[in-house]
Amino acid sequence: MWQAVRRELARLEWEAEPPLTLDLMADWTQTVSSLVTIRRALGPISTADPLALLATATTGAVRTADVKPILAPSLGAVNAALADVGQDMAARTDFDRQRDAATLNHVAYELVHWVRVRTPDDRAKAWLLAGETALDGAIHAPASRSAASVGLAAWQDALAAVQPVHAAPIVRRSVALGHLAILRNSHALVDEARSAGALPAPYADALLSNIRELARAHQTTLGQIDGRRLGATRVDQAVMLQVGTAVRQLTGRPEPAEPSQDRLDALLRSGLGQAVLVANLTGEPSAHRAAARISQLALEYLTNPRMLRDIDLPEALTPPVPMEPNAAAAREPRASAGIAPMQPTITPGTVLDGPSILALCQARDLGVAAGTADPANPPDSLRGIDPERWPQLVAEGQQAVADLVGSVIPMVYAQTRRTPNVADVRGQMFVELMGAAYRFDPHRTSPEGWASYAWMTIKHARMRGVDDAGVVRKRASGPRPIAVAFGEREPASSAPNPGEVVQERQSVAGIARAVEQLPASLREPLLASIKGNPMRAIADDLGYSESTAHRRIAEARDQLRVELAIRPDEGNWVPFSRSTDPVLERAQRLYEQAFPSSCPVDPGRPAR
Amino acid sequence: MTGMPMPAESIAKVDLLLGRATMLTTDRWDDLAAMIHEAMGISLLMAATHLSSRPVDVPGLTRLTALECVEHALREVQTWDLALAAELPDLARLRVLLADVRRESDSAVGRRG
Repeated sequence: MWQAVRRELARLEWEAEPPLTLDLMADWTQTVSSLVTIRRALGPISTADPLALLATATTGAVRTADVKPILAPSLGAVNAALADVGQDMAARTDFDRQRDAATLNHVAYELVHWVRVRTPDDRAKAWLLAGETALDGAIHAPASRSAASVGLAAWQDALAAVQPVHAAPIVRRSVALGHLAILRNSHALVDEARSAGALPAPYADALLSNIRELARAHQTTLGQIDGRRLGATRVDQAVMLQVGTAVRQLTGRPEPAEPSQDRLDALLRSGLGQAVLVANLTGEPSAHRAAARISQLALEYLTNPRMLRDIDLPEALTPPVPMEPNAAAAREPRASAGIAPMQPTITPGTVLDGPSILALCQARDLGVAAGTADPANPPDSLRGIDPERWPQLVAEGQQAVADLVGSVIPMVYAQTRRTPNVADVRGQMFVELMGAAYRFDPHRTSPEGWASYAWMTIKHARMRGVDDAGVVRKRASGPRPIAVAFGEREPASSAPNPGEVVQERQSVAGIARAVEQLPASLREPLLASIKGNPMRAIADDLGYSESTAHRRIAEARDQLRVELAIRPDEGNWVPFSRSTDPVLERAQRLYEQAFPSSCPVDPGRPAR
Repeated sequence: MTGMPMPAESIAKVDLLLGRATMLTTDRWDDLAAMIHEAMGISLLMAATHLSSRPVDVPGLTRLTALECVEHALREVQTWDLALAAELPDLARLRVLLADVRRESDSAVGRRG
């Protein structure tokens, strides 16, 4: 599976006259997208995953202002090979998850290093180094995910988000204040580790002195900024929200179950909260030296993580604080905005807290504005943002809407359980939810009102009972009350006559037989789908990716359709998709237009 | 929904004051400074979430000491309606932190005196 990638990596190194690209960073962005696709096929991806951190770092590098396009050998062939791996992986289940994840990390590490050494701009290079370091850590000194690492991933994400407006005083102030909080945590943890003998004293002392020096540099930065005139625009607010949310995660009470060593380990792995990137953003000359030393010390730690000995450090290095109950929502991956496909980056049903919803609405509004604005006369919300970055904002806006919808998707399943025409109804509700996610105004009620708004929207859609095609939906309520009795059977009853009952039973038996004949790999996801389980749950239960589950269910339905349609002895049984009712046909067409299949249809399969 | 009016300008003032207090305590690595930094983290997020429609100012801000900044911030926070707790989940924590910083500073001053 990886042969083509290996071949292309070798070519990249040895080819005498390789095809060139005029913009290495654009090539690299596409490559990261392919890497993330493969990672997604391997399983759910968390914010703290090295590939997610690589995606964030790439976003930061791409967003670095005034970076000239880089002429370099093209990554196109590598990218194509990686895309093939991604497709192959989505279609197979017999791969070795652990081995492929390790291979992916190695390939990504090699590639990001290759790109970094060819990037002349120091600031973009620092971003790429952050991604490279994350992969380096995952390969050479793997660590489990921790609350601190997730918070630090959110911090890196915030730094990438503010990169386009890095010169704005509000950014310098928020980043300096936020990083001071991280440095304070780090100082306390290193100090405790030194006292307890968990860190070598010379190493801890060097770290502490550089932390103090960097803090003084931040003090200088803050002293130069007049905070009284900040925070007036929507861009300011978006910046403050992103940074503020990350800072709050890092300054809140530590997870009770998380040992201090794990927190310190996460901080060291992150180069103590990406000190070099922070120094670049704040622009204070005296910060660079201390940040570079901290980065070196962090790399030194990465080469020998055993220097942090497993000694039980005292807890409560930061004062206890009740963490926002839903703050976890903000920790979820948003790392690859603009790189990853528009799937929700949060677990469906994640309860978002107010700040997260507000941040998503901000991103949505910025995206909408960026999609329609005139670069010659930008609206207030886009002033100061390079129009070349607007497509990125559009992508982030779409991602924000996908996340808003993802947070309330279980409502759709709750509303449509045991509902006739469930696929149609759910499709319609998803459309309604997308509209609601675009319409929702957090300032009219409160950000937390999103869930209620979404619930009312889909409830309304459900109660209207008529879809866009004008077809009246069947209600799930009980049978119509009997008005007139005629012998044993009421003439206008919706209850079937005995012949229909027999016919229906035969049809059901036929379907059951056809389902039983399906191979297990298709039958299991289909049955789970019939039971109304969400696609993600099906994928998780059966141990493969969501797209694979989707494809297998579609394949199972196709096989059933063929199996049941070719039997002439089944009488006048008509498959749903063969209906000649023009209204139903139109409804089906509208549905398919609104929700095109994510999997390309095999031309060899029977037409739907 | 409480429908309470949000004191956005007052929140911005608190953010300004605690930002200043944080800056002034950058070279302190004790628990008191840690509490100020935590309070700053709360006010930073509050100010971002509830943006003031116009720039705010605190007269004489540059002449204030860290403790004075905290005291001003505490007074400001104590003017907020307690019913805002529903919309500002960290409100209680902010009040406690600021009060603790003030009390600890007083006792430290007292011990020194």
